[in-house]
This record gives sequence, C-alpha cells and structure tokens, in this order.
Amino acid sequence: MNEQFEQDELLAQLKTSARAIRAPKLSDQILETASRTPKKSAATARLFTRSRFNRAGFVGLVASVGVSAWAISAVLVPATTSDFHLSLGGQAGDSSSKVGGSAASMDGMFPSMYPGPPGFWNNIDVTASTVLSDQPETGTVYRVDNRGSVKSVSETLANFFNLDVEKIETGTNSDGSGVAMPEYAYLTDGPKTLNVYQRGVLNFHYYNLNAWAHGPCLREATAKVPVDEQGTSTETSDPENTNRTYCAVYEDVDPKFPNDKDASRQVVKLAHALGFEVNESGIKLFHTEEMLYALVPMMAGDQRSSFQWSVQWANSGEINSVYGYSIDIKPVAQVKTISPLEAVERIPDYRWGAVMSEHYRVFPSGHWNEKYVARDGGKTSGNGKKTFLVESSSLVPGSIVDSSGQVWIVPSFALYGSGGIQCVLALPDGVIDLPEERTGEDIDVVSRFGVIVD
Amino acid sequence: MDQQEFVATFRAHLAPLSKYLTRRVERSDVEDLAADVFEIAWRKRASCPAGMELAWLYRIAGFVVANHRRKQNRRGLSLPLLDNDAAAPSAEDLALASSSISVAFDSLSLPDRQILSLLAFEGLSVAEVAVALGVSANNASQRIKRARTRLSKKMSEYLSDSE
Repeated sequence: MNEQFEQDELLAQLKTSARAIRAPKLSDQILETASRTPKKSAATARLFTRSRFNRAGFVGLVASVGVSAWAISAVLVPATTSDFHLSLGGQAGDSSSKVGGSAASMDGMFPSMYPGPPGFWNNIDVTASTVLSDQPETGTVYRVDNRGSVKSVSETLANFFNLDVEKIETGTNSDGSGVAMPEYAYLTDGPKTLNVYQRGVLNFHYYNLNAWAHGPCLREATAKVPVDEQGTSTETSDPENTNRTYCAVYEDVDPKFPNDKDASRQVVKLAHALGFEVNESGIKLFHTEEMLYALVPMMAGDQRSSFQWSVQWANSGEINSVYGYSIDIKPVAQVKTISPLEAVERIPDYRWGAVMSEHYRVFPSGHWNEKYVARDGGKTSGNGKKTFLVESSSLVPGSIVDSSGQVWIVPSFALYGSGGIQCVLALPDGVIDLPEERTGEDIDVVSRFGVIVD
Repeated sequence: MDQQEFVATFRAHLAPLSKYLTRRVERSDVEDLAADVFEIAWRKRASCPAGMELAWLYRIAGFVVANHRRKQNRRGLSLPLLDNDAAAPSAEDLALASSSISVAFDSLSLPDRQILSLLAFEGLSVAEVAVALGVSANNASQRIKRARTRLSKKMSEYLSDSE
C-alpha cells in the first residue's frame, strides 16, 4: 500500500467517521431578502424574520441590539494624574449612524460587543476564590493614534514590497450600500496584494502568492471550471479556459528560510520603512516545517497590547505575508483601578469586556477558538448551574474603542478561572461608566451584524 | 446577475451551505449566518466565478463564521482580520465517531483542519478548495498534500501510542 493510497483511505475514513448532521432547512426567502432590499433596511427587515429574534422575542431583540450602544461616547480629559475621566452613558438618544460608524470600526479590529446567547450567564455562578485580592491597583491609560494615512502607508509598503502600481487610490464605502465602511486601499500587482484599512486603527496586510516554491509536477489534473495556467479559478466563462490541465500535486522542495538574524533584520527594515523603531530582541521568531514567522508585539508601557505585527516567510525564503498596524500608543493618564475581586462581578456583563493580547491568554489545548469554557468546562453545582470559579488575576492592557472610532488601551484584569479566562475593564465606575442599554426598533442593525467582508 | 438569476443560481446551494454552517456553529445560528452569507454574496455577485458558485459561497461563509467566532471570543483575542482558516471545524463540531480520527483531526492546525474539511466533508475538488480559500489551485494542492500527510502522521502517532 503506497503512501498516497493510505492518505486517500484516511480521508475516506475521515469522511465516513463524521456522523450525519441535521442541518436546518433554509428557505428561499433568505435569497430573496438578500437580493431585494437595500442594504440598511435589509438587515433591519431581516431582524424580524430571522430565527434568533423569533426565538428570543422582542425583548431579547432589544437587549441584543442594545449592546451596539456599548460604543463609548468618551469625553476624555487627558491627564497624567489620577483625575483622568472617561465619561460614558446617556447614549440612548444618539443617532444610529453615529453608533453604527463606531461598530463598523470595531468590527475591523475587535470582536463586536456581543453578549453571547440570550441568558447565557443566567445558568452560571461566577465566584471568586478567597485568594483573590480585594485591593485596587494602579494602571496606565493609553491613547492609540494612527501614524500616517491609508495613502501614505500604502505608498510606503508598495515601494517596500516592489508593487508596480501606477496610482494608489483610496476610498470608502465601496459597495454603495450606505453602510459605514472603513477607508481603505486595495492594491494588486500580479500575485502580490496589499490591503490598508483604517477602521479605528490603521492596519495593513500584504500577501505574495508567488513566494511559495515547488518542485516538478507529480500529478496533473484537469479543471472542470475555468482556470488560468496556474490552476487559479477565473471569472471568465471563456470556453478556452475550461478543461485546462494544471498541476495538482508538486514535489516538495527544501525550504530556504532566512536565518534568525536575517529574518529579524528584515522585520527591522520593514518597521524602519514605516517610521517605527523595533528592537531585534523584541522580535519573536517561530519555525515550523514549512514556514518561518515573526511576531512583534506593540507595547503599552512594558506590557503587550492586543496589537502586534506578524511577518511570515514562505519556503522560497521570501516574505509571503505581513500583517500589522501603523499606530502609536501614547500614555495619557495614571488611574486607580478596582480590585480583582470587584472585577469578577463584571464578568457576566458583556459591556465590561476588553481585548487583551493573546500572550495573556493560554488555553490548555492551545486553540484560540475553544467554545466558552463556562459553557463546556465549568463544574455543575447543586442548583443545576455551572460554576465559574476565578482563581487568579493579572492587570493587563485591554483595548476598547469609543463611538468616534478612537481606540484606547486601558487597565483591565485578565481573570483566570476554572478552565477559562476573561478580560474585563479595571477602570472604576467613577472613571468609566457604561451607557444605558438602548431600546427600540430604530437601531441600525447593520452596525451590529453588518459589514464583515470586503 | 439580476435578482431572479441570483435566486435561481443559489437556491441549489441552500442545503450544502446549511450543512457547512451546521458543522461550524451552533445550529441555532445557522439561519442568521446564512442570511449574512447571501447578503454579502448579493453585493459581491459580480466577482462570483462561473461554475464555482458553491466554493465561492464557502469562501464568504468562512469569513462569516470566523467573524462570528471572533465576536463570541471578544474578550480574549485580537484576531487577524478575515482569517478564513479560523472557520475550521473541530472534531467535536463534526461529531467524529472514531476516537483515533477525532484526536488526530483535533491535533491539526486550523488551516489543516479547514482544508481537509472542505475536501472531505464539503466534497470540494482541488480547484474548488482553491476558490474557497482564495488561493491558486497549485497552492491549494500543496497545502492539501501537506495536511493529508500530517493527518496520516497524527493517526500513526495515536495508534502507536495506544498500542
């Protein structure tokens, strides 16, 4: 039995091993709704037909949509003393477009403020271990400012990666749907692609498909659909492009990754091109069988923020992917926090959530996408509820965004419990207040569920 | 593609899309996410490659699922934007009957799980997998080959450990 056959067998085994699933029957109405109604009202109209709202009823709908009002209307008084104040609240009367703009910005960088399934925390007792401190701590608030513009960053990176583009054009709201969209630039030069977005923060993504090297073709295949010479699907229905033969399996080649020093130098050079100083010691390199990649955390003081750069090399030794941010993180105030014990009480209220670096989040299995551990890993207590026992804490930088799209990094607590980790804001009520939840069907739902792909 | 053509073209893909989503998210979220997928598909219909509609839908669905998961994990991570691999199902999602395959599959990376799922469970060809992942067919075939090799290796490790 040869290796290929064994692997095919394994795939077949994998397929047959999956138990039959009972997928919901989708109605044609989904298609008609999607294609009939202008974007904004489509989503709003969908509200009243889609299952989550039918199940939860209107009260559930109101509560769910109200979370978009999480967007903080911040009145910030920059300070270097303890009189820093982040004033929230009173947002129920704000226009939905304002909130919508913020939420769209958040979608680009942060997961939206989503409370989870209705009543999710009702069946979970959140408790604190007796060893958890009841003493407040002191932390720093940072303001995140973009460095440069979409255009300037695009120009710099296009030049750095030798993208041959005659003219860099930027735009917003490309599809004319009326949904708030980020400012962006999308550049392509053959296999090279560069995206630069401004959604609260300025971030960029470069990708080079040709950075992957391969050996001679081991097996050819014929495409049943239009493809080009490389086997890439084409949008044309030109019959000449159908039934084209392409290589389905190539012989592997030995990777030619740069050594660690050269890789670090390339990262430093890239950073310099964008005007950033990066210390080689701050670059973390990872080797796998088929790629080399570097992570460069962006620091909030001496701690890692949720922002980081990643650079990846393909087996040819060329950089094939870069993801990063053109931002400055500036300290603006020192504040006294609540205690870890008090922070535990905030866990069930999604509005206190912040985003921290994955460095502070380590699941036992190493997967980021585990389901909420409180759902699966919590112990069931006598009253039928699950218990989420918080056993330790750490003050970490947590990222949040306000209603204008301004991003802040504020003291937050990483709370480590019985199988789970949560990150909640550590700012006291007097320094940060949550807005009241909105009610009413006038809320722009697109801002909650809206633009996610472009 | 006008509305009638859109509905006619994608009606046949309602069931496969429902299965794709059911393998990756809570059943109760399937309908909502399917609606998101088709809204995007309608907006982007001009870029749908002829003959590859289902694979193209899976590409959109991958982003939608990844985004959905990111929202659910909002407190934990700042995830890369639009990471299609993040839509990979777990062995638990797939309810794999064999413990050896289940363990081996779960020990794979997200990209490996995503590509093998598209191949084994969604039944896509190499060219379609390429469309679903937004890469060239050559790149897809290389990634498939490596993912299969790694799955095979993990299975061998599991079986030798359990002997």
